[in-house]
Amino acid sequence: MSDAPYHTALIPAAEVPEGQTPPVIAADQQALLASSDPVLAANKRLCYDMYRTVLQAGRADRVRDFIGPHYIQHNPNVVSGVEALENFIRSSRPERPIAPTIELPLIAIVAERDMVQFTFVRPEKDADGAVYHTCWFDLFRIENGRIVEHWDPALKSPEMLKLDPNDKRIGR
Amino acid sequence: MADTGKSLEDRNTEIVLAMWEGVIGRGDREAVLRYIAPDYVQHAVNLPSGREHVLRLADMIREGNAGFKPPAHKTLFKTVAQGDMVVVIWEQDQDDPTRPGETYPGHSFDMYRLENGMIVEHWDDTRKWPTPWKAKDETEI
Repeated sequence: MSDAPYHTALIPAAEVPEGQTPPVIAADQQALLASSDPVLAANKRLCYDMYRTVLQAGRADRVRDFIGPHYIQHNPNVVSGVEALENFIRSSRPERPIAPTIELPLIAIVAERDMVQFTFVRPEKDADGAVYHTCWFDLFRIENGRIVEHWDPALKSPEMLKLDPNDKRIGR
Repeated sequence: MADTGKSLEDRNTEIVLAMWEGVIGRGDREAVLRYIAPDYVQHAVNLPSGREHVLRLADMIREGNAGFKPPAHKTLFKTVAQGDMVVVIWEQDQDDPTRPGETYPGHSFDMYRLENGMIVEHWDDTRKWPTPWKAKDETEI
């Protein structure tokens, strides 16, 4: 069983200085959710819906619909556990309507075995304050239909505790 | 073909790890030419697109170029592959700003797109270096 062809068309997400390759985002998020393996498709959908509902819309009350009770968090700024995640969501962002798609600049969703990886374009500022575009990832492990473990590239920093990643949209 | 029976995902993952071992591990020009397509699209913020820049990077790794800090040692943590995409997640000890002298495990990633057994596109989560990338000789290919 092969998942190819899998990738969706990518479109430029922002202007960049000449000589650099512009960041690209997926033209069709629904295409990223596809998989010929129904378990992988369900795992992707679980993470996608969690992202829209909890991380994007700030719905701490919906955390347990997606996250397992013994959730292990590897982001060094957030402690493990489903209750800690609920508290983190409440303290870092307001509640918003649940949007039909992910509004951060999503590039890819890749799933294999019990893992699902999201990749985003991520605007950052250099030492002179100029904006440039790198990438961010979220890696999830799924067990029995719930997310049980999460990794991302976050480094330990007190500022991260107050960061609402929804501010990392492009062109807003 | 000798690799009959392996999934596309397993074959692509092997190619990416072999490229990493050869190019980043040993600074091997042959590995660059074997695994990376000439019109390689680079989204990492410190390098321009094009295989010639990866060749230059391999030279700097191999020769221990003065002033060039080779990629920090990191341990292969997981791979996730689907269709033409391969993601590699790495683990690396990071200094703990809140507990001097201690470290904690940090994670980083590289994502590659492949076509016909060659790597054609790359993304990662690196931040900008203080000084921009400059190939020593722009005509060198």
